[in-house]
Formats: sequence, structure tokens, C-alpha cells
Amino acid sequence: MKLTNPATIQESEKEFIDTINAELDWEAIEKMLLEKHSFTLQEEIDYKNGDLIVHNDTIAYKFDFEIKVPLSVIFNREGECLEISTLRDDFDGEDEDISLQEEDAAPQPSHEQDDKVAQMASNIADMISEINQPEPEQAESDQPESDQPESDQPEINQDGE
Amino acid sequence: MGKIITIAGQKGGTGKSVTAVNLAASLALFEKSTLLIDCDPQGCATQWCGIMNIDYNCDITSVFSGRSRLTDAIVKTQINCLDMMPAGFALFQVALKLAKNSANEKILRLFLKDVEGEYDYIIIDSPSSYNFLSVTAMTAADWLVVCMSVQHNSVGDFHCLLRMVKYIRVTHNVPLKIAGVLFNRSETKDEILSFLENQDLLDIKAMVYDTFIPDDDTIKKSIGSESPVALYDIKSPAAAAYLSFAKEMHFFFK
Repeated sequence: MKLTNPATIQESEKEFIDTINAELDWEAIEKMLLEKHSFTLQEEIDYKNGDLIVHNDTIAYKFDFEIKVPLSVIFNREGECLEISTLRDDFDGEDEDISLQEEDAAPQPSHEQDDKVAQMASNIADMISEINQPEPEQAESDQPESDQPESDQPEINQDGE
Repeated sequence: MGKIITIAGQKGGTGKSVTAVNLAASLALFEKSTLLIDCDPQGCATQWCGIMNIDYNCDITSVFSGRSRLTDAIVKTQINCLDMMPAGFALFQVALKLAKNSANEKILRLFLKDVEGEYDYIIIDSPSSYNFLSVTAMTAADWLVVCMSVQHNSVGDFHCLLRMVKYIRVTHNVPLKIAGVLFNRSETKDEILSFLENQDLLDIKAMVYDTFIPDDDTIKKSIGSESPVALYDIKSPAAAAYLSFAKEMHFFFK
């Protein structure tokens, strides 16, 4: 469902907040609110905020309003509605990745720190191997053929030739 | 499609910005179409690339805040094949806002899809520490060049960086890899090998570039003149090292 004119977003990203806000299709929003939450827009709508965000791996725009409840509308660069919500979810600090929680954050005694340094050093080769392992579909395209320059392939030299 | 490389290293003083500027300039001097992106509110790469006397209305801050298109924020530099996206302190404020949602760490990667086909190389200068902008800069890249110096780094720094890479790969599902480790401010290869041995880092020896950047006063002078070192004095040891590094980098990807 279109909430705004896609051309407006593409062509006027400068000062886009005011422009897009002015072009929001409130009839469409009200229709969606009615379908989703069974209420209509009877009160005055207060614009609170407009932000560029990343939503599900897509550049998107999030506009927050106050009606009966806080209202957030998210749409992509084509103007398509991605999400409409009456819950303000400005801060979702509880989704930290588990990979950052797997080691203790508390300070350790010095003798344990020495052990830890040795452990880190022994882990590094495994970590690099895991990180630089070729992706199945990228194994051929991503991996360089050789780490060393080949003298018989002078595609680039200090003369820029 | 261009190679997107972030110059990483979470400690200050390891030479990230000077590496980003001089690697980008050297690749451009080899006529490789290169975009240098400053992702640090300190704006060192912006300053040292020599565009401070060029008028520009848009920068990475205006892109991240949605007020301009990425292509509008790209500035031509004095080197023919080198473009730049500058940064300034306002980036810090926008980053505070974007940092509320970890999904936003992918913002630069998504925007770069608009231009990655137009460049052979996109070099991103990231800030020190583990904040939103450094994660954003690394998430945007497919490859990291890790800057180290024998004076500043330890096995712990490298371990932390690898954990951050793993976090980015898992959280954002991106194929981020380590291209190699560049040593800055080094005198000899033996000094680097001795450092690796002392730090129990011999396992990464194969990833250390043959080229290392010498502790050459020309670098400081080129920074003072707000110019890449190759434009300041192309016959200097530092300029030769950066050109050699660019060549090594190019062959690595080739």
C-alpha cells in the first residue's frame, strides 16, 4: 500500500523530512489503523520525529506521531509501507548478540589474565581461519589467487601502467 | 564491482587515517578509480586528503541523516581517479541517534550499493574504539585491512578485533574477511617479526603484508600540508612504501 509519492523520496532527499511528512497519505494510514487496531483518527495529529533507519536490511524512513497513542510509520524508498505500529520502539537494547556475551566482563586476577592472554593467542589462528573461510558461493570470486605479487602480471606498477 | 575495504584497528595512533588516505591516493595514482570515505567525526582523512579548501555542501552526515543522496556527498579531489566522501564533527551527533538501533549499523553498506559499481576500490577510514561508527564502517566492507604498530598493539587488541568481526558477520550476515595486517611506523621486517613473536602472534605472520610503512618524517610533513604523501614528496621512503602497499593490495585482490 502506497503511503507517499516515491518520486518525492527519490528526488528530494534533501530536506526530506518535511517534504515526506507533508506527502504522507493519511487516508491510507487511517485505513490501516482501522484494520489493525480498530480506531480512527479523530484527534489532532502531532508530528514527533522523522528518521532514516535500516529496517530488515533496507534503507527506510520512520515517522513518529502522537494521536491517541504513539504512532510509528515505516516505509521504504519506494514509499511502500513496511510497518505501522502504535508502540513506540525507539530503543531495543535487549537484542545484543550472544557472541559478545560469551566471555566474562568482570576483571580477573593477574595470574588468570596471563592465562587468558595465552588462550587468546592460541585462539587467534582458529578465529582467522573461521573468518576467512570462503563462502561456498564466493570461494572462487572472493579469494585472491595468491598473496604475493606475480612478476609476470604487471597490470599495475608505479608508473600507473 | 569495487572492492570495499575498511581500514580497521581499534586503538588510536596505529595509523588508520593516514593509511586510508595514502592507500586511496596511491591506488588512484595507479589509475584505479577509488572512493575514500571518511567515517570518523574527527575528519582526519577529510583534512589530510586536501579537500578542505574545496566547497562542499553534503557529507556523510547529511547522507546518514537522509538529507542528501550518497552521490551528492562525493567530492572530487586533486587526484584524478580519487573521489572522497568527507566527514565532520556533526557525524558524531547523527551516530548517537542511529546507534539506538543495531540494525542501523548496516546503513553505510546499504547506501554503498548505489555506487560500488562505479569504483575499483572503496576505502573506508574508521574511527578508533568500538562504537557505532567503527562497527558501521566495518559492516560496510567485505574486507578489513588491520593497522598495527609495534609501539601500540598487543595480542589482546587483535583478539578483540576478531571478536568484533565475528559479531558483525553473525549479526549482519555479511562476508567480512581480513585482507591482511599492515604495520605502520616500523623500521625493519625483523622488528615486526620480533613483535609478533613476543606477542604470541606468529600465527598471523602469513597475513602480514610484505610492505610496512616506515617511520618517515615526510608523513608528518604531508599531513601538515594536507596532502597525501605521494603528492608531497613522491621520492620519500613513505611514498614508496604506500605505492608498494597499493600494488601489493591490488595483486592480493587480483
